[in-house]
Amino acid sequence: MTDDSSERLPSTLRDACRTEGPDDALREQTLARMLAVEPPRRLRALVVLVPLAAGVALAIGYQARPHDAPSIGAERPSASGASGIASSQHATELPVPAPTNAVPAPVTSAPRQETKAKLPRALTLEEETAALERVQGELRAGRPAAALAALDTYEKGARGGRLASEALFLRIQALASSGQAMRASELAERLVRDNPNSPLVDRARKYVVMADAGAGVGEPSQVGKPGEEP
Amino acid sequence: MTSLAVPREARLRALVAAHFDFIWRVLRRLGLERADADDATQQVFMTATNKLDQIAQGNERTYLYGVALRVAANARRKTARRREAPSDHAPELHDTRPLPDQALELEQARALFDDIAESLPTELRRVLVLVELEDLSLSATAALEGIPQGTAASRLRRARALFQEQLAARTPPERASGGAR
Repeated sequence: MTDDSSERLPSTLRDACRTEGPDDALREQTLARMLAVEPPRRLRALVVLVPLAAGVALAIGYQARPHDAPSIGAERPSASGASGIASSQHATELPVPAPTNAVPAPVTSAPRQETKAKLPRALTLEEETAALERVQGELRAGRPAAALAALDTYEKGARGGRLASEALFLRIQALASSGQAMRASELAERLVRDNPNSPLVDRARKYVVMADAGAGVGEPSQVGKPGEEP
Repeated sequence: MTSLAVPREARLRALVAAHFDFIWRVLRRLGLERADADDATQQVFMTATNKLDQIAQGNERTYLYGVALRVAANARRKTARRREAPSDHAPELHDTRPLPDQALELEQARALFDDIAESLPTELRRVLVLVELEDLSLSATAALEGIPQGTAASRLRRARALFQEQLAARTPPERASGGAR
């Protein structure tokens, strides 16, 4: 590790310096400022466009094939008109009812407006942060049921929020704390699968391992404390 | 659905969780007062936030450390200018509120470290702080400093020797004078 060929400093000096640290308030304040910074324009466009595109796909998808999972790519042919579907390979794969495609153009615009009108105002980043801090507070206080309720409220208000994976991780913690280990494991698997580059992946994976090992219900001992910063 | 946007938020949180205290302590031990270290740490992390997409995954600490060194140098220049300005009182290095005995001892030990560290060449001081106080390995220190490991080892040896020399030079006279009075 360190080079011991020369004399180390007295432990009193080292310990004294190590015990000094920043105030918690400074850390929180800095983090809040960091989170308030708008992402670069390129990312900002993605933040807006991806959920929007998904919303459009949902609207179209539910109209065209209510029992299939919506997919942007799969819906393109239907938006381009009936002839497009008839001539594409998707026509044989997807049971799309033909008559509804008689008026292709409004399909993209009308449902989008309708969807937009139905969606509640998206939470601001500060509101999302505050909501998740409430969840953490409930978890720290040992109230997983209240944490889950707070998460439900958060997700209603922030569908597709920017802290979605953090909310998901908190839900995993809350479920594990309330004895729903298998459900926690399922969600942990989803988090790992959908966010492979997330810093939360390693911690989420522990919940999967815990469930696979048949550790039973309850909170796993090897994972972080409920309510800790995701 | 939001996987493109979420990692930025999560990454910022991870950045603070993993490196905030480290950067703050490094800034303190590089000679910044508490309040200046607070400001400088915020500055470092805001810079990282604005450049987040340019920081390679796994390279966060190196990036933050590099920014911290520049910010510390600027802050020290400002402090030096403040000290050059006329003042009626001697510069106060620390809070003057009464402290419990243990806290006072810690404060005095830190002041002693800072005082001696201040006399070391900057590059030696940095290596000393990273290895002695932050418990980094020589290879990690060399990587942060952007120097070969052998150079880091050599700097550490010189830093320790100089530090011990200064410590020895200060401790006995204080005891002697304390005993004489």
